Amino acid sequence: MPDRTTIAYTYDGSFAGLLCCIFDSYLRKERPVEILLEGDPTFYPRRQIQTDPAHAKRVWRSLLQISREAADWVAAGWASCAPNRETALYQFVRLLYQYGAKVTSLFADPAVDRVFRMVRTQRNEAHLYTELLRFSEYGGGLVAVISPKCLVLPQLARHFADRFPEEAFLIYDEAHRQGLFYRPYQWTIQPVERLDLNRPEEGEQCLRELWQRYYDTISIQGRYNPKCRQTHCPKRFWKHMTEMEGCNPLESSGGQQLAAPAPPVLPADASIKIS
Amino acid sequence: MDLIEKLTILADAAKYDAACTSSGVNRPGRRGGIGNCTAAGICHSFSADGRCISLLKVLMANSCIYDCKYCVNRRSNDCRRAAFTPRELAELTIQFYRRNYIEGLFLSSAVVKNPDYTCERMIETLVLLREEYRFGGYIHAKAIPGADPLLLHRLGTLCDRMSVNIELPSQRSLSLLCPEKRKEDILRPMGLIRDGIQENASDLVRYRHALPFAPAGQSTQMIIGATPDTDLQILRLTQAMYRKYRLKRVFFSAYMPVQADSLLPALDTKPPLLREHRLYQADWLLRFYGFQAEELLDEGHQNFHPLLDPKCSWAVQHMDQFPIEVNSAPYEMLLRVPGIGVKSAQRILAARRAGPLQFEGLRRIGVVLKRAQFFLLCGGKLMEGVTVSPNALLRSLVSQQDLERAQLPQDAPEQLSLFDRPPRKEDVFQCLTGQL
Repeated sequence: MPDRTTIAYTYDGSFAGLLCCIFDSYLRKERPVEILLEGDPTFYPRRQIQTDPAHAKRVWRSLLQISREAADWVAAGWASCAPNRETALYQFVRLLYQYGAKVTSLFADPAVDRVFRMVRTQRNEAHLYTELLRFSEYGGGLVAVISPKCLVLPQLARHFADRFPEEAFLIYDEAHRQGLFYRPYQWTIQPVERLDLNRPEEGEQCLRELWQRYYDTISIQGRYNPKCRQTHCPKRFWKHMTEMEGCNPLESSGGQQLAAPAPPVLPADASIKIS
Repeated sequence: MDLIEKLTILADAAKYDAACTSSGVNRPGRRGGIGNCTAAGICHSFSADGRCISLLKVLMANSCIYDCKYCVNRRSNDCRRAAFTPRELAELTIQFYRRNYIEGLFLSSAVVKNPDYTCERMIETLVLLREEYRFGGYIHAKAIPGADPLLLHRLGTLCDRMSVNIELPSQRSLSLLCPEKRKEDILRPMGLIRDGIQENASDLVRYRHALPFAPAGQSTQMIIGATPDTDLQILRLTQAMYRKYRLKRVFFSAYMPVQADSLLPALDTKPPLLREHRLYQADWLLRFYGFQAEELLDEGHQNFHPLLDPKCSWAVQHMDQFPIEVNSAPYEMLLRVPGIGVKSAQRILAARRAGPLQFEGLRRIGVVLKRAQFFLLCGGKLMEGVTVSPNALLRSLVSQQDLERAQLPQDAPEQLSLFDRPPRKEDVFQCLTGQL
């Protein structure tokens, strides 16, 4: 008997929850048309999937067993926060079980293509933030604020932990309200409700001016090409970039220090649970 | 003079150097130090002219003993002079680096007093950075022509990439504009660096403590449009550079008029940006697409077409080799199809192993069918609705943007006439297809 296809799954919005949807679809011999959050509207009869960490773990291990690269795609596709990513990832995983490791080279397949694009978006954004993120020094530590569309903190953590092993830094993701905290040789990603920054000290202000001056000096007037600049460095990044005008909106003009609140202790996979 | 003024003067003096890449070396960070490198390089900002800012590109000092006509720092130019101390520059680099403004340092210098002295000052700065600050980021250093080989060797062990600018594409242009420089002076350090890199490759295997010598290779730059050299000459020279000196990159820099001289183009000359762009396109074809300089240009066509990019232009002239079958063509041939790049060619190879490809699949892979449609067969068939005629070809291969750019008023003086009109798109097509 063919699998039932006229059904929509709902889940709790966590990565583990999505993996459980995959688990249940095989268990119940169903192919959900959509995978939705609990409140989302749909025309199909819905089934609520309970998140069971043990099931999620089994699915994740099976992905890793078949292909490390495909598992990376699933994780990156999840982190892309693209609309309907759950359904696309579900279809991709079904193909993965069907074709095995070679699925990541089936670029001509629409389902693979959809996931590949999400993966590319996520990785590109993470890479753009390794370029365009700007730290400011506050009392010896470094603080940067970003507002990405995707979840990029884990990649940034690996990059900057390797680059600045002796520094202490915080990268605050404004859009997803989480922070990456690093002090020598360990890092953690935890939810941060709000972040207020003091006015920078004089030394910091001076370095910013130096950098702004360098930025303005290095461009050649005769080759002025604002469109080219915007292609490489989209405007949505500008508000946090020191050399662009009107940056650092989080810095209060008053001078009242309101440090980041002490974050609650979360389990190790906190970075994945926040959506 | 305070730091901000020095930075302004010395960055301004360095900005005509085209190279700002931080690629070619992979070096993980070290505990107790600061900085790492990734092979692909990382850009950190984009200036108002759209060029990437990856490195802190400054001169050590800008008072020069030479008097090259095209250069802003020449002896006879009346401009403000400044010099960094090694400590100032090292501190500035580290402070920029830890704020993620830059990927490293691009250190060049005007020749102060003599080449050896200049080179020593640069080495002093790099020693501070590498040894005292334990800086592991990227460093690009200019080799100073005429400096002692031992000094150049020391410089090479401290930096990641070295470069010597060839500046002008021929000996004749060089002796015209830089009477104090000779071709040999430029090529000698280039040869030294090449030999250093080759020697070092075997040393690294043989000795545990061998220091890497310019691990990211060497590059050079030449100025386009200051002299009457043709694209063919430039491209041949480029190819010879890659082969003979094993360069990683050759950069082209459209000439920006900075001073009036009877030997140079007039001050109001627009920089030949389109020409520079075409040369870079051809440079990519040489390095990644398996083309030879002689295939792209010949004695009959010494310059690139302003409307067609070099790859399209080659393909249009070799229609006898097309169309090719996507599902069986070799990689080298796929690379020669306009609209297929290195990435999409590799994806085609991977995807066709899994099953036959159709045009819809090609589109998903990232092939630009607008250009590629005339050159490809899927399952023995052309894409639906495609007819290969010279007119249809050119309509798809010439971009609207290029067309507009080509129609910008030319520099050549012209007798005005009541009946003149600017060329229309049709005229250009007819001209290209040989009907006019």
